[in-house]
Amino acid sequence: MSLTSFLLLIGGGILTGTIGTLLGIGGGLFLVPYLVLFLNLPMHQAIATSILAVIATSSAGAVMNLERNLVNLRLGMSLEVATVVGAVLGGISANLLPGEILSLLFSVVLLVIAGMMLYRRYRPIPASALSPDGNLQARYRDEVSGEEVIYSVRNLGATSAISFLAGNLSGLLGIGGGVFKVPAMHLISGVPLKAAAATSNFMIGVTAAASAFIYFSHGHVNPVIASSTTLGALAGATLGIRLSRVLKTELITYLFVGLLILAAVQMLLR
Amino acid sequence: MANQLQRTERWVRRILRVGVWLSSSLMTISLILLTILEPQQGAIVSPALDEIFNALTHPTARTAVSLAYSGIFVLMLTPFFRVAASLVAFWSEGDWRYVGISGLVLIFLIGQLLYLLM
Repeated sequence: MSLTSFLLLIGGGILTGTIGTLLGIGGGLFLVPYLVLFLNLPMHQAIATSILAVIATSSAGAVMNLERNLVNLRLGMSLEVATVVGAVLGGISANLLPGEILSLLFSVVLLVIAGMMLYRRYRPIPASALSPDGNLQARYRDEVSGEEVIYSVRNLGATSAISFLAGNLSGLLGIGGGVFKVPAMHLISGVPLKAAAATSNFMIGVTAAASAFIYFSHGHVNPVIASSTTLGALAGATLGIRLSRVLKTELITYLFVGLLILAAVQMLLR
Repeated sequence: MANQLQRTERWVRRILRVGVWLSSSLMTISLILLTILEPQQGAIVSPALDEIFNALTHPTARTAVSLAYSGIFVLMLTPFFRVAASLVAFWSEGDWRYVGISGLVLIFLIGQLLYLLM
């Protein structure tokens, strides 16, 4: 492997880790095309490498986010049930719907979520909605404002349904569900964006782990490529956590909306 | 309740930290060894679970590659242990609702894995 390839792999991993911990998504949406386009990796090898980078991002990010009290462990575990069931059913029913319809549906949903995120940005969740008297109560200190944020989780059933859908799409389309789960936790359950991103990041590693074994056992994991990208992702996760300590929620919202639009366009062009 | 939650999170953090450190150390050592050893063409092919154990018990030039596989394997196992650690921690707290939820996640994960591997 050339030094250029090694640096490209490390760079791809750093980007995945940074964006993954900052926004609570897996990163496969851009890491897979990056590995295919810039390093000419076969698709299965690119997906396998991406899944491992996602697990690394999730595991390293979770250590730091748990220390900061940003991960709502019980919420994450509750939603994980719906996600895993959705992923299993999605994998089984993957051949029942035409791919074009799925891609179109996926893109439309992503664009609607992007619109809702922007709408919420200008009409923030009222302070009364961040009630400390509800279910799965949690608190953390916002390092940018210095304020202690106390919140509880509303409409867990609705967010579980979205997580089921996210898991289902993960099984059907081979993508992570973070782009759905973070907005659902934020918009429907009233979880602050940073806590939603941290909780989603925590969950994504668990969802990705089962798929990783399949790719591993089928021989799609190249140890040098996977190790280089994974080590980059671990470094990126640390960088992402540091950035989330200084970036304002508004900027993270805009980054997330940009990513949703990018993912929607990419899916339409498939 | 807050103390119980902190204890659970501490358990999960420990598991994650060990998994991340162990896997990243193995992968780093492997990449360094591979740079020094310059393995022959074709040394990095067809990963299989038993290859890791064979190479570790019979050290050859492929040991460096096997170390990388070991690191990757540890990384893949970390989320499973994370869920198992949550289950044990919730159990020790007597939070039966979340023992059930964690157990369900673990069963689904193992079930999905077995289904896909068959």
